Amino acid sequence: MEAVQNLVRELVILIILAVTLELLLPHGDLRRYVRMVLGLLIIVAVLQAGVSFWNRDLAADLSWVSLGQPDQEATAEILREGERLWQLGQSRAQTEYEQGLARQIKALAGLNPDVAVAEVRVRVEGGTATGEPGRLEEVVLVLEGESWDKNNEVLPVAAPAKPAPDPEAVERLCRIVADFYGLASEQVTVEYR
Amino acid sequence: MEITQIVGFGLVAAVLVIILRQYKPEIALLVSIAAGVALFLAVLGKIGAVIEVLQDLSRRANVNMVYLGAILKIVGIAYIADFGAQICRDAGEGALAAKIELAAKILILVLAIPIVMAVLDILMKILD
Repeated sequence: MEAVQNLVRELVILIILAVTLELLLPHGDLRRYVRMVLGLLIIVAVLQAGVSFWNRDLAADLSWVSLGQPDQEATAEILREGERLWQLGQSRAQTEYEQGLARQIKALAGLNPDVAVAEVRVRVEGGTATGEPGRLEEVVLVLEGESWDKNNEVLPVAAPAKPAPDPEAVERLCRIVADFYGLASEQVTVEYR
Repeated sequence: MEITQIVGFGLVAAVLVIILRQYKPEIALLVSIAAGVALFLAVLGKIGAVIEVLQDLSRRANVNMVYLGAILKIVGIAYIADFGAQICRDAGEGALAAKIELAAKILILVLAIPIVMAVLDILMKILD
């Protein structure tokens, strides 16, 4: 019943469309030609409506002839796939950006001969869909050796495998990195291994 | 009222063309063309609303927008060719007007090819 209702509705709209288009036709010799093409269009539309009513398989086969409304489900699937690809690209871009920043900071730290930085880790957050890479939130400088205990005046008896860097030099390096990237001093931390 | 302005403009242009035709027929032709273009441009903005309605109707009737675009192009070709052909006839160039109409007919048939093929394809599928 609903299919018949849809068919009748489509045909009524088609008739209205045909009459409206006919009003637009010019006078003169060219009128016959335009009417012929308009008639063909109406035939296509009526046949398509009839075919989709009587034979669903044939209608699917003729979908290229009269597409009508796009398939909502297929569109949603395409959009989901596009979203997934975008997320993948965004994540790769963020990883490369973080790696690049880490290399940059390591090179900057390498200019300071007093502190040997073994590794640099960064955390970037807030990348946007418009391609902005996000903001640098945290920098971790990983140094070789053991940390100096500032509260303890006594130095460890057993010498460490590698001498710990001078804490003042480490602090200076942290300040340089923080100033260079416009970070607060708490955002640049040091780890020892 | 817009229609009074349009009719008034048309009448003034017609009188002007009649007078000019006696003394300077070539200027009369130019005035006629200019008046026609001006009248066309005056109502051009309103066509957008009509086309929107047609597009909405086509969407509801599940008619492919490509076909509606073709029909609108064909109507446009017909109007422009008619306009040109009439001006040529007014200038006494009936042969040229016929050539313009011939060109328009060919262009219309070229634009109608996809629709003709669609009809054929549907009929073949139904008959198979």
